[in-house]
Amino acid sequence: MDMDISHWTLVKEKFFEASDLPEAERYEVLNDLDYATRAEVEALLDVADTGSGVLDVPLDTGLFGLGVEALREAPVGETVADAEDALAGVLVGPYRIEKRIGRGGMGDVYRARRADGLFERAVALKVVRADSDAVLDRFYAERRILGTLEHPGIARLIGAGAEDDGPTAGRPWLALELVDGVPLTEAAEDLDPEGRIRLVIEVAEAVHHAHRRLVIHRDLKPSNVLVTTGEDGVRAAKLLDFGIAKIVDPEADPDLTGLHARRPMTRGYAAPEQIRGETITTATDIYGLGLLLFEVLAAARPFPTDQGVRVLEEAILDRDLPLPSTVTQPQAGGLEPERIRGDLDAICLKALAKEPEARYDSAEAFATDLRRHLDGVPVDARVPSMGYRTRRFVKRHRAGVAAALLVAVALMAGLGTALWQAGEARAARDEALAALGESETSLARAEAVTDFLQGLFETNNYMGPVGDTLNSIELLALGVERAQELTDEPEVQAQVLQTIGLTYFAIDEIEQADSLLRQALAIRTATLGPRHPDVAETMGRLGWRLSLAGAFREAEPLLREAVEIERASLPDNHPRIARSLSNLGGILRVMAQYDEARDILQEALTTAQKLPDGDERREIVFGVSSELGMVHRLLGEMEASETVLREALAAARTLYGNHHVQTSTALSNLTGVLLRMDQLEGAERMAQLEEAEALAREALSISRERLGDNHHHVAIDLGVLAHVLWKRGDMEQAEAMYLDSAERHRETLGADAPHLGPLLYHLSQLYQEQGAYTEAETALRGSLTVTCAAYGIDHVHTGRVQQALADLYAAWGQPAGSTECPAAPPDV
Amino acid sequence: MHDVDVTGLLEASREGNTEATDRLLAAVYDELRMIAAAHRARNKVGETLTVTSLVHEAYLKLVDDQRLSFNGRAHFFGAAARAMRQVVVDAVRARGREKRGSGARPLRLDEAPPVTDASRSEDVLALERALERFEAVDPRAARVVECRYFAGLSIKETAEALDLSPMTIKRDWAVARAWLHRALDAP
Repeated sequence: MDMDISHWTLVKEKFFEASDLPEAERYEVLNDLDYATRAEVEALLDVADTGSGVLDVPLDTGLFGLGVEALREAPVGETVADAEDALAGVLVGPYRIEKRIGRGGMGDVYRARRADGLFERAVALKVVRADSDAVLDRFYAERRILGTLEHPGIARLIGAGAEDDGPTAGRPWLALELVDGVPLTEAAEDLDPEGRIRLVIEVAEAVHHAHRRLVIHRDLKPSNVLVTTGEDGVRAAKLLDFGIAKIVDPEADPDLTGLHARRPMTRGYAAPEQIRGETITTATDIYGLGLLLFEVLAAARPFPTDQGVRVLEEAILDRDLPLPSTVTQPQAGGLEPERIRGDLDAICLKALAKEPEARYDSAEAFATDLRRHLDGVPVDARVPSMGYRTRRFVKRHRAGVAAALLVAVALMAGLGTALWQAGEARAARDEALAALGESETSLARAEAVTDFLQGLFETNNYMGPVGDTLNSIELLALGVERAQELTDEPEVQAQVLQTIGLTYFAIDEIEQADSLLRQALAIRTATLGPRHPDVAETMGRLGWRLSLAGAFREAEPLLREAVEIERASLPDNHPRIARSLSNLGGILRVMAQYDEARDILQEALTTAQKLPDGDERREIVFGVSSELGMVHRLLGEMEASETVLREALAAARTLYGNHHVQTSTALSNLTGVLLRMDQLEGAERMAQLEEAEALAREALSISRERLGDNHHHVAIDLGVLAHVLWKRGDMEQAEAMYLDSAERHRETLGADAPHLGPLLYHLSQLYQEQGAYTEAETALRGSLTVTCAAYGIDHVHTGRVQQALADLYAAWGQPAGSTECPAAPPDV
Repeated sequence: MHDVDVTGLLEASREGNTEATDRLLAAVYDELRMIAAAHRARNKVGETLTVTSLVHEAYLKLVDDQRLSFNGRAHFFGAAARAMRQVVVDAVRARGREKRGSGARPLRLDEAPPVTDASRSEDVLALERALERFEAVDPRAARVVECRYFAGLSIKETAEALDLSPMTIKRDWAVARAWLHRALDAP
């Protein structure tokens, strides 16, 4: 049933023509058609002529015993709508439904809370009217990408699933961050012009954040933007349903391969390309932002919505956009025409251009123009005079390139779970901006990279079998394919390969990532020479990401060489040197070379402290003190460690706030050292462990909230909490949490996730304490396998696990089994 | 009993207010279920109500004719068709869950028609799944099926509800019927 719209139009036309003719004459109509079309039409004619089917028997209500049961359950006098709230108390996945809070085209929305109490905040639970298998398939395909959408202006997607039984059986559900706010247009009525524009800028920034992560909203409209008012009276815009349209929309179903028709989720807010059934790109969201701005300014919609859908669609496609200043409805809350005329008219016009190419290049560019308007600076959208244009040319050109470069930079650093995500992005951006000022070559290079990345979003000219149902992974694969063709411009090629490689790392496609970065490294070494800082950059990034993936032995030499090149080629105290030292120190720590790690990290800290005061310096200092705290702990210098880690936690709370992954990491680290400070006794120790449990629970709750259940950070935090509970004497819960943690490690990073080593080691100690020797042995053997693979046979960790195994056999009174490292599995 | 102003919602929905459309659908959905349930409670098993009369009864109960502008009635039936589809599918699904495991007898070919409830429930669910796919191929024709089948509207009523010519409705219905029956027959 593969077909696209024009094909279907042809099939339909021929079907009508032929069905008006006697059977004998039909072949004349069908003869000219290609084989597939002809077969399609004939099959339809065949069915049309014969038999009776479902649609020929009128529906009657006797069929389905309509709603009687629901009514009986409801007390007399209540409506069915109340009875629907009978879902209150029902368990859906890990959530318990509290009440219905909305009803929409996709399905009903309920307020719900986690039933296990692990996470207190309520969520919005969407029970969707769609085929659950398809929805869940798409959810799993997209979840890692969606999981990286972390922005105060975006309501997060927390989880999804479907129940086999119970009242919601067979319907998929999606858990989303619950937002308590009013729709954008409603909130705007109370605001002055500047307040309204600032809200739209916030929305644009959130949209830009998502675009940098290859997520397109596709259904921007006022009811999807809620404005919350904080205790301090500050208003903030929050976008709902990001990425949801693609998951829920049946047209995005890969089973419908090749279809280019996408029914807009909400007709009145469709962009021209959505009506034309063309590919949805980031430009579609720019159009959506334009509509939001238009409505917020004018309290009116650009096209008539009261004359039927056809009139509306024709207007969207063909009619010139009316200027908002000409249709504004001041009596309905719109601004006065004079306030809109000029800049704001021009900005709406550019964002709402019929052709996607004519709109703003990015949501950021749109926001920037709005900011220029507020600052009283000429906006890009206005057609400038010749003299003005000449003066502005270079500047504007660079701004455009810089904005687009941010896309590239964000792709490099933004997707992952790297400890210094934000810092990397910022540093790379600053470098990029600095490079723009330097030379024509780098400008050209930046532009080429930009063009390339933007081209990725415009898949119109891609004729492959998946059509516009390309998901993010396919998009990246397509990017690799095109990058391989860039052999004429090795510098651009290297940068593009590096960008895509880092994106692969961020979504845990390690092998692909590794091979792309190595290719980028080879190209840079060949073009720039082996001692160039850009070569060091690629080495450092590859090494760092490899270490995150657990490939420490591959990572170490890369990180060492990167430090060496940077020391030789960059000025002293360059932030990149501090970062590279910190990365090297981190990996040396993991590789148990603690003394050297401490020296390197101390040097990193000294270097960082010489940087000018600011967020960058704070970030580096935070990262280094976190690492240093760990190393102190491992060297048995517990008090030094506690001091440094408390500082790191305080820094994280200042820098990132109380709901950020970094803060969670800092909490988790401090918990770890408190656990090991067992020189205290009695009540003091109890109080210390009590604090540790509170810290561990806060860490877990943040990770769950920010990253969803299936993330290796959650796995780590569960392990830490299990350890605390064990020390506090709650064996049963501790065991359950250890097992849960192990399962999540395996799911997220595979059976050889390095964290499994210590985790299973601790679990075995717990078993042994209870005399459960068989379980203890199984756990220790699991730990040994992972530890040997991650650290090698000579490593101190491996030795510790081997010693534990020997001790176990001694305590057990069993003949000792082998404590050798298991043979590595053959390469597949 | 109805604190929802359906007539007002209808007008707002026609003007493109999607919030109003959502609330309109919800109100119609609830009303359809209430009427059907009340009917079932009053009547004996076997006496059934056609979807056509159900939808018309909902109109009489919910809408104030006097306040309605031109075409408002047609717009109501368009919305009712959508709500009715949801009511039917929800009810059949709910019923399927109750009946699950009760060992429905497999249907023999020579028994049809009249068909049993159980097999028709399955038919309706299969149709719903096919219709969801067909919406991607031809959204307009899918709307026609919604009106004709789920709300029992005539060609003329459907034409008014969807703001299309009766000829277009006839053709869309023919091609949709062929496509869906073929999809349902396909192994």
